[in-house]
Amino acid sequence: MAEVVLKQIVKTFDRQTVIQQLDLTISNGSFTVLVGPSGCGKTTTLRMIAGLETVTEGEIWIGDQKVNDLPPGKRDLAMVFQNYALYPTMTVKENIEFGLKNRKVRKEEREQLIREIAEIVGLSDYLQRKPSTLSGGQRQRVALARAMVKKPKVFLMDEPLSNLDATLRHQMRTELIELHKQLGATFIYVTHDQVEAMSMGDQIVVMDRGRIQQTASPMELYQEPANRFVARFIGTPSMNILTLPDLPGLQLGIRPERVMLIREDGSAFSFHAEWQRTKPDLQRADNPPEGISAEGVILGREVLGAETLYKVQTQLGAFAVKSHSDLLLNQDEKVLVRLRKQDLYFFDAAAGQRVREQDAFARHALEAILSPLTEPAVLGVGGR
Amino acid sequence: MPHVHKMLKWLELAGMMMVALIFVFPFVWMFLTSFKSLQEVIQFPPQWLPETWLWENVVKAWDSGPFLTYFSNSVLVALSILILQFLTGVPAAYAFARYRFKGRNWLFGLSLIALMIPPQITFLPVFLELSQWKLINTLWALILPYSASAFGIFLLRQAFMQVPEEIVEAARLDQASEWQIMWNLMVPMARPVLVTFGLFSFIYHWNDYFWPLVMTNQELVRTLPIGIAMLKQSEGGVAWHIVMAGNLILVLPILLIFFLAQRQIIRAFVYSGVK
Ligand SMILES: Nc1ncnc2c1ncn2[C@@H]1O[C@H](COP(=O)(O)OP(=O)(O)OP(=O)(O)O)[C@@H](O)[C@H]1O
Ligand SMILES: [Mg+2]
Repeated sequence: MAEVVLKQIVKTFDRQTVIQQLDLTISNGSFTVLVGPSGCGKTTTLRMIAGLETVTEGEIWIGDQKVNDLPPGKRDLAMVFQNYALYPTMTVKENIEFGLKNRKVRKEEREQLIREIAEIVGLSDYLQRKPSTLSGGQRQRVALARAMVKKPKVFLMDEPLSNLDATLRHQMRTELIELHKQLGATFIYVTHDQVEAMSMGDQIVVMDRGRIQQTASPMELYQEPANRFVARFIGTPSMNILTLPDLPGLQLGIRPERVMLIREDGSAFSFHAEWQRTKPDLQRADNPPEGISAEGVILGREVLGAETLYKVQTQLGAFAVKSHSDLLLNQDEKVLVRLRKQDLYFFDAAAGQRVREQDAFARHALEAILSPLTEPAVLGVGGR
Repeated sequence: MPHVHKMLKWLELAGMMMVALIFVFPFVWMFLTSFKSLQEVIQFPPQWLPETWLWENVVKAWDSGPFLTYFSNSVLVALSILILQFLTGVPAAYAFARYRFKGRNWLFGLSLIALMIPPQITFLPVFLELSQWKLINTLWALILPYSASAFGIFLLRQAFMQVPEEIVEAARLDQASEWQIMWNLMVPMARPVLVTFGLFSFIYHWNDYFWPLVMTNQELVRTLPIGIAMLKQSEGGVAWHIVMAGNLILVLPILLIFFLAQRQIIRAFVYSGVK
């Protein structure tokens, strides 16, 4: 079918290598998102799949065909561009029809297809309009319709929603997910927005500086990042990375939303739902769970409504904490900080690779910093 | 303050009227002269309006030579040049704008230099060559040397370079051939430039005096400007009223084009402002 496979792809522009030995398998019917910071090579990768850019080294396979030397029009794929790239002198209908005409589809069949697609994307009343008279969202739909009408096996989309306002973007996101389900085609979607990536993709490819950092499902990416880059890229605010004297050669990673802050009077703050489940364990005095306990002071806060971001200074260093509690902590207020063992991540300080707990190195480090977490009095009061 | 604003507005308007007047005056004078008698033309102080409108001056001018031939030659030459320049200019400009090939910049520079050389410098070698081909005194001698326009290539190249790369790529993904991309996408998008250039080229060659003068010496292949210039050579002094009537014949078609295509022309320019 339409599995897309990239084998050892290298791309060089004027001696500058922008993609380095990229291996990627995009399974048939998946919604794969390429995500990464600006300039990491997402667009370049997508354009190589489309055939708009040649590959310097390596092979691209679509289905059971090697497509390196196949022109874009023959690869049975459609692309939606960031700025839509509609043909400005043609009407909406002609825009949608252009590709069909070039494929020598008969007139009655074309009319039929256009009518169907226009219905799906809600453009039936606009077929005779020129793109310049449409709103951003409508243009976006024309671009989608133009891609869909060809019924390709693979859809390529390069930041198709980035020109829309927040509301429309949200709506189109949902519609694209729906569309993917309906069509069952392979979607390859480029974005630099990790939230968009997480909410849409079933497979996410995180890229940085021309290399794939990790390929995984959204949940795995969040819970088991392969390295420091992915850990910091996924989640807002990004993961805190702390360098501790007790951990030579290692760095400690802490997600802001996984830190519990406790007020001096004992009322709990920033109570991540995951903590609820550990609560009974915490209250068991005989075999308490392990973690990190520290004392801290609030350096600053940002109130966002549904959540509050704090900057907390502790003996571990200063780091960000995200709280979902409606109660607010004040500047300079003293707090107790609690971290569960399972929420700690370790990274190789130099290479940035994740160091797992099984690793002797990490186990040694853990012993150095862990202590039993027991705060029965506090947790009796806690909750949100 | 609003007073000052109003004053400035009036001044601006007055200034524009002045400029317009300076441009329009020769045409008005030509028009009026065309219908005067010779007496009225040369009398001093000059008289604005003709005593009686002598419409027959135009007929006299038309009848004083094979003007139908001149006229159809002019139409044929100017239109053929326009079509040829369009057919050669579009692919050349497309290649210069969109392809990377060896010597591209060098070639483009060369065609720009051609833009700066006036025909008065090149006419001799061209004449010699055309006479070798036995084309002197044919319409080909007027058309062929102008079958490609460096200015047209330059303008079209600029227009084609403005077209976002993605549109071309979208067309490639839609299985369009290069030929289709060029004629069905790029050319319609470059319409304002095409209209501008078309007008420029047509008027230039319609009015061109030098080249037809050099390349032809038989009435059968002469164009309107030559025919009108020859009106001056009538016996017994220059009959200015007849010459002006001839000029009227010369400018009328162009005025007509402007008049008929006015909406098209303005639309073309308005479109260029909309992305
Ligand atoms: N045609 C080109 N010539 C030279 N360098 C290029 C070309 N296209 C891209 N690059 C370089 O390749 C790198 C990757 O670019 P690419 O457009 O793939 O980034 P991206 O991940 O899509 O970024 P963004 O999120 O900003 O769109 C960049 O450093 C860019 O400068
Ligand atoms: Mg990009």
